[in-house]
Amino acid sequence: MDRVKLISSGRMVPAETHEALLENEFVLSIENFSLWYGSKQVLHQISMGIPSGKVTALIGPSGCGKSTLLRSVNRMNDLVESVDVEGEMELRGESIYNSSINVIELRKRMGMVFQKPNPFPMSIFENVVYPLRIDGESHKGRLMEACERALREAALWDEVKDRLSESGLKLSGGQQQRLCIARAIVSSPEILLLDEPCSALDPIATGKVEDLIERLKGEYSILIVTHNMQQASRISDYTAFLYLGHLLEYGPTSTIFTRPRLRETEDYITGRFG
Amino acid sequence: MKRPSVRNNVTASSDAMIWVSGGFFVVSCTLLFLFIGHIAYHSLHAHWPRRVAVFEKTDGTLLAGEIHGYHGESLPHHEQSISLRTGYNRNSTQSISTMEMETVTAIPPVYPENVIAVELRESEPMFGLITQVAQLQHSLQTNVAIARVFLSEIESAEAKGIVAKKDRNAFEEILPSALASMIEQADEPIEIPMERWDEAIADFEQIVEHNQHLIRLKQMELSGIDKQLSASRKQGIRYAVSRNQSFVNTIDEIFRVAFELGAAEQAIYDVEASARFWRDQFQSDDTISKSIDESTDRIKALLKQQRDQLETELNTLVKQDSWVSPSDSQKTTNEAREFLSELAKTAKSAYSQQLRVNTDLAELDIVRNAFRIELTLLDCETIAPTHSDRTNYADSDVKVGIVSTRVGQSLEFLWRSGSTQGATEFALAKKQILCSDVIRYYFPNKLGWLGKLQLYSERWIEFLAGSPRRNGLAGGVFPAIWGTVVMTILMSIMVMPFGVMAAIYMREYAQHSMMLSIVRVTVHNLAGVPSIVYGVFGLAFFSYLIGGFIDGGPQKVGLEPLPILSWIILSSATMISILWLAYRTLKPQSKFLKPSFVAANRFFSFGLLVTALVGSFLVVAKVPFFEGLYYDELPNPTFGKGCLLWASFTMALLTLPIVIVTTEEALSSVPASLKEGSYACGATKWQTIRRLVLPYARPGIITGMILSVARGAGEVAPLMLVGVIPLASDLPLDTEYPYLHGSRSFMHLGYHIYSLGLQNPDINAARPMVYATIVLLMLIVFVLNSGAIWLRSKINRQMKTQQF
Ligand SMILES: Nc1ncnc2c1ncn2[C@@H]1O[C@H](COP(=O)(O)OP(=O)(O)O)[C@@H](O)[C@H]1O
Ligand SMILES: [Mg+2]
Repeated sequence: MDRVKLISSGRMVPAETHEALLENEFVLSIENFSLWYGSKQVLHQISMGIPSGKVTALIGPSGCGKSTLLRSVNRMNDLVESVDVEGEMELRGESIYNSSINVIELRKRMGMVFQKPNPFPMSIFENVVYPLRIDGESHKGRLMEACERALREAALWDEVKDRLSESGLKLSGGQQQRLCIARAIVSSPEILLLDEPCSALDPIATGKVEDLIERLKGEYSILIVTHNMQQASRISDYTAFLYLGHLLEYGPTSTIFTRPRLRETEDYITGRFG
Repeated sequence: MKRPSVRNNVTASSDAMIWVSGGFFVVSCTLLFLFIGHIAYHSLHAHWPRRVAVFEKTDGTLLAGEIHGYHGESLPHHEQSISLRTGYNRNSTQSISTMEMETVTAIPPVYPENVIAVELRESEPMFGLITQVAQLQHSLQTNVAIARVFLSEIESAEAKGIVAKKDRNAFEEILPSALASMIEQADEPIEIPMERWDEAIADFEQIVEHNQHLIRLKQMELSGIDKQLSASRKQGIRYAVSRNQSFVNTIDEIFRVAFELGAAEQAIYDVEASARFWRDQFQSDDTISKSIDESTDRIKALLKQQRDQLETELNTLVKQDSWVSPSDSQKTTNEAREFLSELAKTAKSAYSQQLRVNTDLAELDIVRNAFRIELTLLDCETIAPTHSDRTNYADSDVKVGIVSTRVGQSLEFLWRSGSTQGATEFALAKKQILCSDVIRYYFPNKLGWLGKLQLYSERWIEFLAGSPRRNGLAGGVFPAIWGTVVMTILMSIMVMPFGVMAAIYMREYAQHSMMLSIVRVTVHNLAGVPSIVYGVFGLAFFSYLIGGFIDGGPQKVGLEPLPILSWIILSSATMISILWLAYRTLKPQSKFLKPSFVAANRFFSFGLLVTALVGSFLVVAKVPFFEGLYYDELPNPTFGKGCLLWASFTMALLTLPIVIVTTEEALSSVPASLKEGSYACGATKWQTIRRLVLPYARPGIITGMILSVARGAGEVAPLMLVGVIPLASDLPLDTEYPYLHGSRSFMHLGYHIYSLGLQNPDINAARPMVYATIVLLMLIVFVLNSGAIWLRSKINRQMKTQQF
């Protein structure tokens, strides 16, 4: 059975989901989720659960819909005008695509970090507490406390504690990305969405961010998109392989990288295609 | 080893374009600097004091003035000419006259030291020689005025037969002749001896200044009374509108009678004062003082009778009931009576106060006109027809020029000609000027550098802080500066929220559609529409339509008000559609609706929107119970004409496209990644805009504001139509409640330049003011611009380093 050929010809193929996943409690479960940009279908009936307190990596060739899937979780795709979706996602049992849900409140329960660091043009302090400010918090002491906690968790506190009032734009690229992570975790989100957080960084900064993700594991449930195989294997507990909008294989990282069940997965991991 | 530099060597680089582009650059810069230099030279020169030259002409006349240029120096002598600013000149309306070089006997001219230049409040400056300084006895003149009252009252009383002929006989001869001698005495000026001229003039200045201060106070008092009167009249008419026309007539009658009553009371008071004065004059003469007393009593009795009559008339006016309509209850009628009697009381006291202040003012006026200087003018009419040689002049070391000889307490001037022997007598053209008309005087040919500098700065200070004199040909432009600044600030306050909000909607909220593109292109194009078009629109729409509506309600602008019932139905329908629309846009929406449903939805929303818009327009435009806010001033318009408010509106409209375009550009420069980051944090659209987009776009938005402000300060054409006038007596923003007077017309620097430069019959007289005003306008625009640029760079810097 050549799944690649089947998919290219427009057919559905069932996902290969490892049984080991079922042991977990899921913070987010995706069921039969499909997404269209206009008339172009980008995600095809994806069903998967994201384990709570673990790091889950999404891998796949570029353009396969990893970012789209990630952005569907916090409904960032609402901002694109021609989007249409089908299927369901649930955050801790609560439907995300229910018409009565408040998207703003939903997003506040998640943190997101983008491919390119996007610190806001304001002070480091204001950058970190931005989510709290828009939530209406203005008590200086509480803000300061939350800021320090988030920066410590993001391993940035020691580097910036003396210049919190300086612009966030003055930091280096790696620092900026950690600042964005601090901003994403300042309101203790239920799930952290990372979209290739290291792809714009140099190796040293990448290492630091990876260490950080390692440390956040356990406390936060993390869904990370990456096209760097080593990175996926180093930091994630589970890995899902997406291909052209289809979920092909999903299992514990160690298994996926050593004994994948599908030939396509193996080919992709070993770099034979993609 | 050092490589030869190719880049810095112009000739080595074979690029010929450097010469071409460089040439264009040089020419452009030269032209720009020429422009600035020309303006700067002329405006700085404008107030600089010049010397006054006196020319002797071949026909034996003299001509004096400031030399403004020699023309045709390279031409033969008979084609050369001199232009001379002669100042006050009875022969010409032009302030600069041109003189053929041939007609002048002596070149160079003489610059007599004792020539004085006097700048006057309401006429061209005069160049001349002081021949007399004098003072009228103003206390005597006041006495004359008081004394006259009694005599004229006697005459009119006699005509009516109230004072018997025999009474009159008692002072038939005596009083009039006493008055005549009084007048003679009062009109005789006290000449100040020459030695004390300087001192006296300084004294006069002080007295006149104090006097003018008093006059100003009295005038303020008068205008206060005027305001009080018109306010209570307005109050009356407002009260009357709820009643009938007959009531309005009654109010008008009350005001008329109250005025006459005030006058009658004033007459009694005047007669008493006058009689007292006469009695004091003839204290010793029993028969005369007795008959004065008798006549006074009779006249007073007559006047009192008149007054009582008026008093009764006023009372009956209050009590009469022509205005009572059958539907009125007793209580409302009594209330209206109460109101009328209150009104009558106020009007009466206001009018009598007004008359009293007027008497005081007349007295002050006598003082004002009592101090005089006599000048001998050096203009063309000072012909010396006789050429009668005189040799007995004192100042023999003057070779050519003016020689003064002393005659009694004053001076006489002789002209010592270059061509003939001896000195010539002038046919003296003398001119009396009142000290109170003098703005300043100086001796132009005696002035040192310091004095010139002082005069120069005095003139600039007057220019910047003073009001215009002589229709703007002299004095200051402060009202124009003030008007420009107030209008520009108002305009920015109006345009900024509209422009920025519209741009935010277009860039952040509106969905991409054909409609939006059309709107955007239209807005871009509107930025280039000639400004006069906006002026025409402003006049028609703001002034006549909206202003007329505010003044007199829908009827005034030809809109038939709806019947009350239909109006109520319409307004409820409008209200419902507005609320419905609000609910639809504000309720939490699910993004994922079926397309057909969305389309139907949109269609429905659009219908609601149209209903809401048209409905609100009709509800306002056809409101049945709105008579206008200023119907009591009609037919004089309050807002239904060009005024500050509409001018600011028009300019705001004119600059709105600029602000929208620049703001939209600034908004679109905000990176999408930033906005996404904000949304991902759970920020709403407005929170993102307020906390992220606007601060980021602020420099661009401020650029838009700079552009609009510069345009607003410099634009003239539309303002001419919507409220700018050449001379305004009141400032649009002052210390008088309610401080900002939106319904006043105002002055504007740009228009001031236009009206001085082009609307003036004597362009030469206007030239200095025109240049000075131009440089001022440029300065204001520069200051506004650079202030805004500085602000922008400061914010930029702040944003890069600091939190905002
Ligand atoms: N806003 C959009 N409108 C239309 N198509 C899009 C949009 N964003 C992404 N796509 C398309 O969806 C597919 C998946 O994109 P993406 O999720 O960004 O891929 P990945 O992150 O895996 O590289 C791509 O083919 C891309 O062209
Ligand atoms: Mg991607």
